[in-house]
Amino acid sequence: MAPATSTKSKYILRKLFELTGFLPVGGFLLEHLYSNFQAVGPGGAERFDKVVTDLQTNPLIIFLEIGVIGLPLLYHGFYGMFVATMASRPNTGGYGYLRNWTYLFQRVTGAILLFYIGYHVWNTRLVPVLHPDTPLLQSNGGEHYVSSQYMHEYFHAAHFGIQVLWIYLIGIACAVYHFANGLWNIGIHWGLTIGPKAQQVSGLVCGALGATLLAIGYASLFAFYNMGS
Amino acid sequence: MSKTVALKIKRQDSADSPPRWEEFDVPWEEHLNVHAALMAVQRNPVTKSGQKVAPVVWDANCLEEVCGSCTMNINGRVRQACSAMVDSLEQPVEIRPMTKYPLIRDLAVDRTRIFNDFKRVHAWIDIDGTHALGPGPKYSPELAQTRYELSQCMACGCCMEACPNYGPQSSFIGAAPISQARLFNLHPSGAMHCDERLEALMDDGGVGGCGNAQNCVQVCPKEIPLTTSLAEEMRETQKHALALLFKR
Repeated sequence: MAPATSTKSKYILRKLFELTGFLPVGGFLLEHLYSNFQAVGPGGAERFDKVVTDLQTNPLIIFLEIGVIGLPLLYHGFYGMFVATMASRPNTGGYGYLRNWTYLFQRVTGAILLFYIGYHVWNTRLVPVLHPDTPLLQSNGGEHYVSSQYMHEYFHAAHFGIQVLWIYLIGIACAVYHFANGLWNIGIHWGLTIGPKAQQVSGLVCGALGATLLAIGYASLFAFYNMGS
Repeated sequence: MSKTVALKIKRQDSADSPPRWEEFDVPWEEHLNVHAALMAVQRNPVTKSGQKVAPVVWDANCLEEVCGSCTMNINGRVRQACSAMVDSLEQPVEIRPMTKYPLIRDLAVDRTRIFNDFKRVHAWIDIDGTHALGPGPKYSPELAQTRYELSQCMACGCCMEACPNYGPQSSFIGAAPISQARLFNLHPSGAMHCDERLEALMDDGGVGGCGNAQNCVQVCPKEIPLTTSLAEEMRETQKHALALLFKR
């Protein structure tokens, strides 16, 4: 019996969801955390400003930002909303197993990230382009980018009645969790970790990765927050 | 006064009528299970407050945890009434019907969906023909052991009831049918229909519907390695998909 075309295309859409989470989106998260970490330590402010300028003057940047980050991220987000509709009411009350909680958190963090990433992209990528007269931006050849000083002031500001620092403390934790737990899920969905022991070990590895990335993210966040003080 | 067992049962006269809770005290007996406690209610359908009510409706058949028909939620956990020993349960024993299937009455639900999903994954081996097909192929005792574990599935629905990705809102077929596809693909004769099963698992509601909450393997009364079956079939479907993609 030949499979219906719709069967194959639905399967491909699902695999594309897993792949976009892993490579373009996950890969970018790693690059992003690495670049931001340049703000840590002596001379961090200048180093970060240079990293931003170097990235933004890269001739491929617009293609990378749209093709490798923006579109895969949007796809992952939209398909993720479809995945979330499969979920019933949380049943962690009756079945409080670790994996049932990680399942629930994957959906909760995914939902938070839809808003957080939109908010984050607006303030750190689109504001400099659409409102180039915003104070503290750095400029290069008529283009405007965020600077470490801009980030410093931004994290001390308050949006929606919450200090921006807190929005980022939550946002970074969600992003790192969603990525690390997503990796654990992908290990199963891609048929790499099959038995319970293998899944336990990959759980520890992904947990350690998540904790490390969280430390890196928070170190960068506080480097900006405490800059110049 | 002799020792009694307190039951708290969620009741509903039909799918459309409003649910209500009723409490019963039934005489304690040694080795009493929930099924027998429900039978006591049936013999004397009088609530704790002395009101005579219609006897509670539930499904039961084998009474030895091999048919799965008396599956219900007992103290917030899905299991069989026949193997739920009252002495090991906190009282009042709270009994609710399964929540993922259309309700018929009280504790009886319509699990036709499970049967349909078994059919969807071709959960059988085709042995009938117009002529004798001869003896089946031999296979190793190791494979027999693996298949035996999977073959204990009684389609009770515990794995689906506990699955947060399964229910009326979702097309996901659940762990049991996916494990059955593995059971029959592992059989040398069953493997003749391997592609058909894998393609059913690649379709909407197949392995892609699993969210790895892994409650299934925790609640399975037959202790079937369901998460291993899920991961194995994810691997097999992916191999099949890559073959379709690169061998055409």
